[in-house]
Order: sequence, then C-alpha cells, then structure tokens
Amino acid sequence: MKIIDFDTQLRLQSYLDGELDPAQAKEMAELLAKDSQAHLLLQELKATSVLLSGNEPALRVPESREFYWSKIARAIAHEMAPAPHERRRDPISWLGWLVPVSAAGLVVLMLSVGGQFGSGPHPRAGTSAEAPEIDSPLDDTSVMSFHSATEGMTVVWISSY
Amino acid sequence: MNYRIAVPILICLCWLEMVLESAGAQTGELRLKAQLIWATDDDKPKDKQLKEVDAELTNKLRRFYKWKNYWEVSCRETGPVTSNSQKHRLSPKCETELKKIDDSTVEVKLYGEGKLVKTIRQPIKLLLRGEFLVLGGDDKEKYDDAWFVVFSLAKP
Repeated sequence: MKIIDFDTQLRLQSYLDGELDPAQAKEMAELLAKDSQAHLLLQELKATSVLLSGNEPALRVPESREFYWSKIARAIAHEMAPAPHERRRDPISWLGWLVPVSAAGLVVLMLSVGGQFGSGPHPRAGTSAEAPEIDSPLDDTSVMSFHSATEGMTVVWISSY
Repeated sequence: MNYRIAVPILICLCWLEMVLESAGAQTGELRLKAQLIWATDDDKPKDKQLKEVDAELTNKLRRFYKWKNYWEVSCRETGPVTSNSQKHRLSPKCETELKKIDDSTVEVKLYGEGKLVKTIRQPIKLLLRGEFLVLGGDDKEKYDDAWFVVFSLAKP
C-alpha cells in the first residue's frame, strides 16, 4: 500500500477547503481519479470536517459584540501609547546637568590655577616638587640626595674630601 | 534631593580638599624631633651613654645603609618651628637651625664644628606625613663609621 506523502496530504486538505487555484484543483482531481488512497483520505477528511462543524460546542461571550471588540481596540491602543516616564523624557534633558557640572568644573579649574600661582616656593625646572633644595656653602663637600616615598625618607648624604 | 545641585557641590568640595592638601597648607604647629645617631658595625661601647634607635628607624636606615648598629647619641624636641630661626645643639660639634620659610617649607641648617655644612629646604607635608629627613656623613673620628641627624615629627 502506497503511503501518501505529507505534502500531498496538505494539498488534499486545501482542495477540500477550496483553497487551490484552478490548475492545482484540476491536478488534484486527476490524482483522486487515479489514486484510491488519495480518494479514501479525501473522504476521511470530508467526514471529519462534517463531524466537527456539526458537533463543535458553541461558546458564547457574555458581552455584546460591540463591547467585546471595543475592549480589544482599547487594549491595542494602550499597548501602542508611550509609557508615562518615556513621554516626559525630553531628548535634551541631559542639558539640565550641563550647567551645574560646567560651573563646578570652572570652580575647580580656578582653584587649581589659583593654587599654582599662590604664594610659596615653586619647584625649579628639572627637580621634583618633593626633593629637598640644598645649598652647600663648603667647597670640599659633595652631596647626594634622594627621596623614597615607599620608605618615607628623604636622605641627604654629605661627603667631605 | 536635587541631585543637580548636590553633585556639583560635592565635586567642588572634594577638589577643594585635594588642592589644599597638595598645596601643603599647614594650619597647626610644626614640632619636630632631631636625633643624632652614630652608625657602626661595632658593638655598643660600655663607657658611652648611648640609646638604641627605635626599630622602625633602624630598619629603614639598614635598608639604605650598610651599617649594622645605630645608636642614638642625643635627641632634642624642637618645640613649635616658626619663621624665627631656632638653634638646637645635638652634640659639642653638631648644631642644627630650623626655620619655617612659609606654610609649606621648613629650612634646616646643619653646623659642624661651628661651620655651616648644609642648608636644606624640606616640604613640610612630607614631615607631617610621618616621613624622615635624614642627613648623614662619614665620621671623621672613626674610620668606616658614620653619623646621622634625623628629623621627624615629634609625637604629641
């Protein structure tokens, strides 16, 4: 017994539902005339369709048609409306932060620059701000100095000749 | 709370604190301790009144220098360092002079046998951090020994 392939079964159902175009319907009719299996399947599908349509329980919505559909329409409209917080969000609202942050930055800049030009000694070019300034009045001495931040020490070694 | 006002104010306060700290502003008194230290590999002589240097400073000196033993010959607390020069005698041959140049710098002068040997200007913030200023040189009286004058913040 030849088994009808799945694609043919679907086309049979479409034929029964009247969904095939004329050329396809003619092709299917020719197949049904030749193939007994296809014919049997069609009969089965027809019987099932009749059985279902005659015995399917009718479910009734306890609302009028207009009210039922208006509820669906309202739900769709609600889905499509923007959220309240999104509606209030202004695409340029970040500008509201710009002014105070800019003002803070300007104050910071003025303090930093003012600190540099304030009173007090400035490190000479080529020296570290934390290195000691050393003056050696004696000619027969040499000095080696360094600062170790990790050890927390500034060391000045004075060699006499 | 209006974050648009609070956040910039907080930023300004944080930066103000950092600027003041970096400028080395010092608002309280500066009191230092000066120690004259003898460095040697020999054991402690019995006839001399010497004190052992505390472990923290000994370990630091050992990391920089070769000597095994460090003995404190004398120790002086300077009192508040001001813009007026203050001299402190550490030994018959060793004197120091301290003077505050400004709020961020202290000047240290070292005298040996009455002669000015060195003038050093040290940022005050380093001393306030607990760091040491160490001046050292060869001991002329004993070969291969050394002397150190160590300045540090006096404990209250």
